[in-house]
Amino acid sequence: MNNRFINTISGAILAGTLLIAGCDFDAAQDAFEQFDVIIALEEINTNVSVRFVDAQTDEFLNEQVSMRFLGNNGADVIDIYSDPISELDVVGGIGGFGIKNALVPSESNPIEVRVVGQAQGFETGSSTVTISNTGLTETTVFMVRQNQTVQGGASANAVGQASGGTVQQAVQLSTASGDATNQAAAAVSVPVGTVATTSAGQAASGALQTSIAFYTAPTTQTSQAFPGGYSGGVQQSSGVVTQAPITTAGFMTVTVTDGSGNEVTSFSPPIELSIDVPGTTLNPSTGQVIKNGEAISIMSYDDDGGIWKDEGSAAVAGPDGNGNFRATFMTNHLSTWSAGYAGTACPVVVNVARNGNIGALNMTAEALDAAGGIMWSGSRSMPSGSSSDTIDDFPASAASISVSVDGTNTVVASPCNNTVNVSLPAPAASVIDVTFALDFGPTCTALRTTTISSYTINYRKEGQSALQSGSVIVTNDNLTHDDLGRITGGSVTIPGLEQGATYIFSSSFDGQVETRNEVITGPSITLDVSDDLDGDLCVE
Amino acid sequence: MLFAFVSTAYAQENRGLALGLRAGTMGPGAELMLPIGKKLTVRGGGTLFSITRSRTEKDDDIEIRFDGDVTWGGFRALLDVHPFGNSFRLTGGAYMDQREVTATGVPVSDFDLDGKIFTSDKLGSMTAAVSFDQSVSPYAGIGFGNATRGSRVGFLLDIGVLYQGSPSFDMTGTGMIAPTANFGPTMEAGLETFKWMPLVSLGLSIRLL
Repeated sequence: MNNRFINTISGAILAGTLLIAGCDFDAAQDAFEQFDVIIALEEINTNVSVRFVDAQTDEFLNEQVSMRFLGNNGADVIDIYSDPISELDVVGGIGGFGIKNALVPSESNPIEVRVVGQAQGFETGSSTVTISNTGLTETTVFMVRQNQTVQGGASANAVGQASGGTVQQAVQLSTASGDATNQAAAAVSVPVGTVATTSAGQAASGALQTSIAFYTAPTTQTSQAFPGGYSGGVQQSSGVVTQAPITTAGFMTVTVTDGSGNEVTSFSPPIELSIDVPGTTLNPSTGQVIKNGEAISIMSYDDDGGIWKDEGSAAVAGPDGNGNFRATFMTNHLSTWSAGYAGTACPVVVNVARNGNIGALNMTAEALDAAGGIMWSGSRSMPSGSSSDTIDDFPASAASISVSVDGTNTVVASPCNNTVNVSLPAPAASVIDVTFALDFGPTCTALRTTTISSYTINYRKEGQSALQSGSVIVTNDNLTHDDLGRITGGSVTIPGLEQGATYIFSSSFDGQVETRNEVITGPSITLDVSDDLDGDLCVE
Repeated sequence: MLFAFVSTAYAQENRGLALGLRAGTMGPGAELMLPIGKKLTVRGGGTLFSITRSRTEKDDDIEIRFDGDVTWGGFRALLDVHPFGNSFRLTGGAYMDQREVTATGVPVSDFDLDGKIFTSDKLGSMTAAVSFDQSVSPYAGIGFGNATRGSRVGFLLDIGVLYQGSPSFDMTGTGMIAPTANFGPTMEAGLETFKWMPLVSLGLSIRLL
């Protein structure tokens, strides 16, 4: 009995010792295997979505664009990880960036960034975006293919000859007729004996391939081809940028390459360039159409800085048989050149009667000269819920304004300090608000980050141009998180989509764009974003 | 009162006070053993164990240096029962000690997340600590060796278990990887069943009186 008791006690003690085997090692191992690094990202309060649009097709640019940030707040641009960046590569035509949270933009204290885009085979494009509120601001950079013109433009090519840096065969080149309406033209003359130097500082040699792309800006498309936009200001010779709306009566891009394909960028002595401007061009200093002998400003576009530079002025001569005046000037460098003015600005208020159109609206305003030619244009997005906007940088010299809101055009004469009322047609009955559930896909259970800043979704109805697209940004409020703080999904609501129609959705994150088509089948749709956020971000 | 009882017992049984030196899973330690009856011995002693180790691990493309520190020690009061009057004994009692394992992880290499490079200084650091909230842990075990009887120098072996309760797993973080500390509750849940700690110790005893 005693031994039995002892054996029992001993057995119990040994069993207790072996309770260690009762510990759930699998559960411990599972916990350790779940362990993963989670990166805390700061939610960025102020974001900008940039559309890079082919000026000829109004479609998003497929080529890779190198986007640089300049201007007053160019140094305050950050990437999705809140790190300062000065440039970002973009693929798919949609890019985005953020502004340091320390800066809070407002109407009285706006943030201004000049976005410069460079892509292989395109002229440098730029746009100055003025940000006056947190959230999402959109801007568009039009990109013009080199040596090609958009509708309404004209081009010409010629070949000269150089040897050892000296022009042996002159180049005399003029566009045949810049525009069928006014027959305006542009010309370049490089005489024999001119010393030509490449961008690398080498003496130009061989055949001098010379081309001109000329725009008299009478159409929307040619106005879009104006590099840098009309609101970026003009840089004086002192380096100071004067904020003034730029108007143009004509602009041209001149390129010369030598026999080795090197770009020829400087000439000595200076060469002669000519730009024809329509006789309907308004001279802001007189308020009347331009006359023989009056001065017109000459500006050159700085590709590196994405800004127009003051190059003095030229006296116009004419009119010729077509009613045009010719501005002739001398230069020792090549660029895009504009003949026009940097005048004073005046505000124009645009009120929109939405009539049930609840989504974001795309608005384009054009300043027109005496004959209806476009001398200035600007685009902006009117957010959902907003029905009024003020164009602060409208050129005071314009004879009238043409405002297009989602395709509805309204023209008002003498628009300065005036109000433009735009009444939209009622939307189709099938327009609904749609909530999209963001699905990361079966292999991505969560993201290794706590937020996904600057993740924007651009949308447009199939068949519409890139300029008619809208954007929404996904914020932390749209996201769902697990107990660990990792993102597991989310949803975003886009108002005003047409039920039954097919829409193109392009999501932009960290320079990458994924595009997909979705038919609007109802108010709730699952959007597969597994391709947007894959890679190391996903916890599989 | 206990001391009086022990002294009386000692006087009555005239058994020797012994010193034990041990090493085991609780680390090195020492104890005094005092017979209080024909088959009973009380023991009291303490252990102290501390070790620090560093190693570098690569996980998910991050190279992290871990500095680990294991510290445990404290006092114990035990009662041995020698049911057969020989060296075999049953032991019960309590440990009043502290056991804690801490580890600090500091990234020592840059981290490439989806093409974005994070420098190690921006990533921050992480600290994890495993500890037990119970200040008194009951112990039960068996053993061999009776230092108060027989030869002056003896051999001691103890095998037993300590009920320590579920461990606490606390994590804190700094910098960009600070949210990684959210794994603390997950890790704690994974260790929830680890309530018992096996103890094995070997030692030598010498009778002093």
